[in-house]
Order: sequence, then C-alpha cells, then structure tokens
Amino acid sequence: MTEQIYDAIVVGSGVTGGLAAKELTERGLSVLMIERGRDQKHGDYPTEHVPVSDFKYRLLGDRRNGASSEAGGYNEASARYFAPGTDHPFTVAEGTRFSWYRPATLGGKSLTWGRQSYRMAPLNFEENATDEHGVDWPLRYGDLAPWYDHVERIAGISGQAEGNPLSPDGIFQPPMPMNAYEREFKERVGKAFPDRTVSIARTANLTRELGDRQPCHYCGPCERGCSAGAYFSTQASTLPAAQATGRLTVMTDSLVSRVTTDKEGKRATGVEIIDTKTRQKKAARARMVFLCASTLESVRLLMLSANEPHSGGLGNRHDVLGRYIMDHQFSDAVMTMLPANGIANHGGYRPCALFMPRYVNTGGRKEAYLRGFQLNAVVVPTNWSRALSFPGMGIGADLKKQLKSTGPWMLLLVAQCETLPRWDNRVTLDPVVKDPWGLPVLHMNVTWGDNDKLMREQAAMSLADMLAASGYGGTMRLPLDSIPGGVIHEMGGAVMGNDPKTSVLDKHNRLHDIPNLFVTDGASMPSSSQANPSLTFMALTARAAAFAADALKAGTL
Amino acid sequence: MSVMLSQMRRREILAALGAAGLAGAFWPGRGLSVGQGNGDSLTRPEQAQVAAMAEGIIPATDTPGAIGAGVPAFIAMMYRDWLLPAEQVAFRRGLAECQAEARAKYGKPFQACAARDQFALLTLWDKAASAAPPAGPKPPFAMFKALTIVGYYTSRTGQEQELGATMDAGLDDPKGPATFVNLVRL
Repeated sequence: MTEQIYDAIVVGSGVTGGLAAKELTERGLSVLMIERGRDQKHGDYPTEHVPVSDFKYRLLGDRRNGASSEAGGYNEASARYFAPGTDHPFTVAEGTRFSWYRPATLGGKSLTWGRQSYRMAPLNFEENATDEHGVDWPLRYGDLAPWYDHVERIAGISGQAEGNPLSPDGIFQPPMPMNAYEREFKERVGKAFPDRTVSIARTANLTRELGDRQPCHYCGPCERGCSAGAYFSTQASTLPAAQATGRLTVMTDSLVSRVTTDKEGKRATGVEIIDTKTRQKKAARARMVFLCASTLESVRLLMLSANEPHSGGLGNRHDVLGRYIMDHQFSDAVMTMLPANGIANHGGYRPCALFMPRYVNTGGRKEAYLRGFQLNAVVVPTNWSRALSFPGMGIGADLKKQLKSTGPWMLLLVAQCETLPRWDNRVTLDPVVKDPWGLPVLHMNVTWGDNDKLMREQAAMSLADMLAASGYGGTMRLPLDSIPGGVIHEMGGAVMGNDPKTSVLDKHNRLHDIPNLFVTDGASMPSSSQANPSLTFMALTARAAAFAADALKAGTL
Repeated sequence: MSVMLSQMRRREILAALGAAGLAGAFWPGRGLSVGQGNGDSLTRPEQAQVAAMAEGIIPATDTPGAIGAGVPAFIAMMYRDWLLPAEQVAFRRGLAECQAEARAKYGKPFQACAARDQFALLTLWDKAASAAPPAGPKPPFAMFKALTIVGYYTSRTGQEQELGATMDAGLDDPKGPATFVNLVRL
C-alpha cells in the first residue's frame, strides 16, 4: 500500500477541529481528522427527549460506579459524552486544585458545550499591551472581525444587536424571547444604569433553519445531543460539510501521541497514533498539521513531541510552552426571590439565559482591579424541588397542592470574570505519572492571582448593588466554588505573539519555529477576556485555515 | 451558563438531599470504590411501612399518590443501589424508630394505623425534621421525605399526570409565552 500524504492532519474533532476540517477541505485540501474518542453519529443520541422518569436514578446519577463529575452539562443523561477521569489522569501541584473535563466521542465538547457565543471586544485585544500583563496579541479586533462574521454564519448564532462596544454585534439570527420577569429586569436595570445593557444571551442555538439544521424546539437539555441540529456541533454542522467535499478522512479511537518533524525540526511531517482499541501504533503523514485537541491536550502534545532539535517540546526554545494558563472565574451568585403572583406556568425550555456586556473599567472609571467581567442573569421559577429546600411545606394533600402551583421565581446573577495571563500559571509533563497509554500526564500548577481574587469579590458586590439600585430586595449571596478549569474555558499554554522569544505561535497560529504546524484552539489565546471563548477559537481557526490553504497553494507554507 | 444552571439545579437537589441526611449526596462516588454495594435490601415489612409512609406524604387525590406512582419501589431501589452504607444504616434505624413510635401510641405497626393516626404521626415527624437546625444532623425522616418527593415528582405519573410536563412540549409561541423559562427540567 502506498503511504498517503494528506494535505493536512487535524488533531481533534471538537468546535475547532471540525471547523478546521471543514475550512481546509472546502478549500480543496485533503484532510485526515483524528479523534481520540469513539465514533458518534449525528442523530444517534439515545437519551434525547427521554423523560426523567425513564432514568434509573432520575438524573441524580449513579453514585456507586465512580462516574461522578461536576462538569457543566454532565448528568445521568449525558454521561456517555464525557470520558471517565480514570482514563485521563493528571496531577496537581501541592496546595493547588484543578478540574479538567474531557469528552469521550467524535465531536468532542461541541456536543455538550454551553453554546454561549460572544465576540471579544476591541479593548480585549489591547489590554495585554496597555496594562502589561501577558503577551501582546499579534492581532487586533479588526483582523478577526471578518472571521467572526464567517463563523457566525456557519454556526448560526441567535442574539440581539445592542451596539455595545464591549460586546460587538455579530451576524445574528433573531433573538429568543424574554419572559415577563426578564423584561422587567431589563427595564429596571436600564432605568437605574443607562449604560448597562441587559440582553438575551447570544447562543449557538438556531431560531431559523440553517441548511439542514432545524430551529430550536425548546425541549431543554441540549447536552444530550440534538438530532434536529438546532445547536452548533461538529456532527450537526462542520462534519457533514467537510464530508460533502469528498476530501475528508475521519479516524476515531485514535490517540495522537506525538507530532513528527523532519531531522532539523523545521517542518512537521505528520503524527504518530495509538489505536486505543488495539493499542497498535500507526503513523500518518501530511503537508501540515493543525492541533485542535483542546487547550491542554494541544499543549501536552507539543510537550510529548520533544525531539532532538526541540528538546523541551516543540516550540519551547524559550520556556513559554505551558505558561499563561487561564480559565474564567464565576463570582458568587447573587439572587433574590420573585413572587409567583399572576404568572402562569411555563411553555418551553429556552436553552439560554440573559447577559450583560462588561461595564467596569470602561471610559474614565477605574476599579481597584484590572480588566472586567460579563454578567449572566437567569430568571426561573422554582419547581417541585422547592419542597426539599424550603422547610415547613408540610405533607399530604396540601403539600401536593402547593407543589402543583407555580412557585416563586428566582432572579440570579453570576459574573464571568476575566483572569490575567500569568507566567507562573503553567502546566508541565509529570515526571512520574503516566496515562493508560504510557504517556506522561500533565501536572497542573494553576492558581488565581490577586487581581483575579479581587475582581471576583468585587464583582459579587457590584451585582448585589445593582439589584438593590434596581429595586430588588431580599438579596442573598450563594457561594460558588472557583476551581481553575472548573468553568471549562481553559485557555493559553501556547500563546500567540509577534516575538518568538515570548510566544509560541505567530499571528497565523503556527509555531514560530515550525511554519506548517498550527495550534488553533484555546491554547493560542494570549488573554481570556470576559467573553465565552469558543467563538473566538473558531474565528482564529477559520482565519488560520484560510492562510494555510492559500500558503500551501502558493508554495509558501 | 445555562448548562451551569441546569447543573446548579441538579446540585441544589443533591445538596438538599445531603441536608436531609444523605451526607454524600453532594459528592457522588466519594469514598466509595467502583461497583461497591453491600447487596442490602429492605425487608417486606419495611417495604410495607415505606409504602404507607410515602402515601401519607403524597396521598392519592384527583391524581395518583405515591403508591400509584411507584414510589415505594423507587425508594427500595435507592436504598439498595444508591444510598451509601452509613446512610442505609440511618435510614433503616429511622424506619424502626417510626415503627416503634406507632406501636407505642396506637399499638399497631404504622401501616396498620388508621389514616388520621398516620397523618398525625407523619405531621409530628415532619415538624421535628423541619425544626432541626440546618447545620446539624437531620432526623432520618427528612431523608425519607426527600426520597418520597423526588420519587413522586420524577415518576412518569408525577411528571405527566401531576405536573403536566412532557419531554417534547417546548413551544416557541409567537405571541411570546409570558413565562418562557430557561432551565432544563429534572
């Protein structure tokens, strides 16, 4: 058999891997997409629309099989899409904590993601330079704006244009509607704070058809998979597009164990692969390699690929690889109860909440901390489970009657806080512990810095003040734990920059040292901003793929 | 974010179960090795008592009650497969204490007591459980009531007949439902 040389190998099949495969194949390239997890066909979502009564533990999960997780989106119905932690161990530095959630199937986390899709603001691309933290972005908002347009058209983002420069408008499908209490919240905040915008979340859930994908039918638990394709996933969107070109090869159950280079270490030549079912080793060759394996796995893969010319890992001549690891922090939740008076029961399960663009450290006002946060606001009725948390509801027919009627509502605010890129927040290969494939695991040494902690604390106070000033009483603060990795917005580790001495990737997301090796997932982010990051990962991926395809054709890659 | 909130509601329920005496509810799996279970099941008399107590908490009205919704079997399953060993001990002890009180007051096991006597006992136990300080240990009855409520409202009967919920009833009413909500059900 003649060994095939692909135009490109894409490692990973999630939000960025699937998109890279689509963009590269549609530009005429032959692509091999390699996924560690098992195959997962679109539409084969066995728990979709299954009522709670049909789950053995009624969605409380099996406490005795060890498959426990506090990951967003993880529950008894979606557990099949999450990899057991025992398969993918990692270690943490003494005195630190880290949460790391890994998917189990083709499509990666695109099947279970939160779907919140916000552009970073022009300011976000400038602050590393202006306040001198981390590495200056090698591009600015204007460089990425057309690519945001491009990926928003592909993903299908519903949302409301607001003209707020701290959360730039995009190409939106019509927004999902607000409920009565949400509209009231928007009005009240607008009166008290004219500069603060309450808007419906911008979410990769359709409100209009997009190709074969149907608009959201408001059934609720997106994380079980959506055979209507109403939210953006690899299976619903990018995979069928890439397959339609006839130029995509998909390899599942295949773990990429290293990226190979030529003898001089100047060009990537392909990858080495472990078949996770047979444990047999394979190899594949390509003219370029895209790492889209998720922030931390892409960083780990660069480290695992160390060779003679790159003894500290690919792209690590200056000890930058693995540094500047970031996540977002959620503040404590601030909430109040709203009476059920006159509000009927609900008519659907909207897959998103409200948001408010960053409103701190803008214009002339300066806070005691740098950067800022975006606000999430949720207004929901309590359900029958209030009988568990509200004491004194009694028993018998009277209890039943109370629980049948609509209970009080909750108005709940949580700030999503930017964390600063810090040199000391790093991951390395553990010198001792290995995964089930014999590969060194990651050792996490990531903590929150002083600025991160101060912002998180002041954000909760700001939210409480906002509720009070908007006429809401009875405010309560609910403590939320904040573990690095817990928001599942890992970023950094192979950051982009203009200077090869201080960054791993250039402005086209390729290694300064190896021009045909690209990293386009969250590892490339020099700062985290306050925005949910997947849309930015996608924009960077599409931009890099276009550059790579053009360079390949021009013979300049 | 919405994912986080659906998670919060799950955690809220797990936390409430934890507060009701299921100490490990908030951290599934912690301290328990894979596949661990002691094979312990409720006895037939215990199951009869469970059924009577559950039906007293959620009685049949114009809709079925706990027995009609299969709650006794659910509780027996949760006892066997979900409770941690220490919780099993507390649960069983709670059943025995309730039974002893029923015999002392009315000379019969709980399930043989008159409906009004059952109601009086359950009300007594519920008030004691509600009055227990949130931080301290809860009477086992709190655990029992929580399992009854979860078992009833997550059953097909509870979901469909009592709450009128169906899994595919989501509507995007162009008139705009006044109370369009954004949380997955549990």
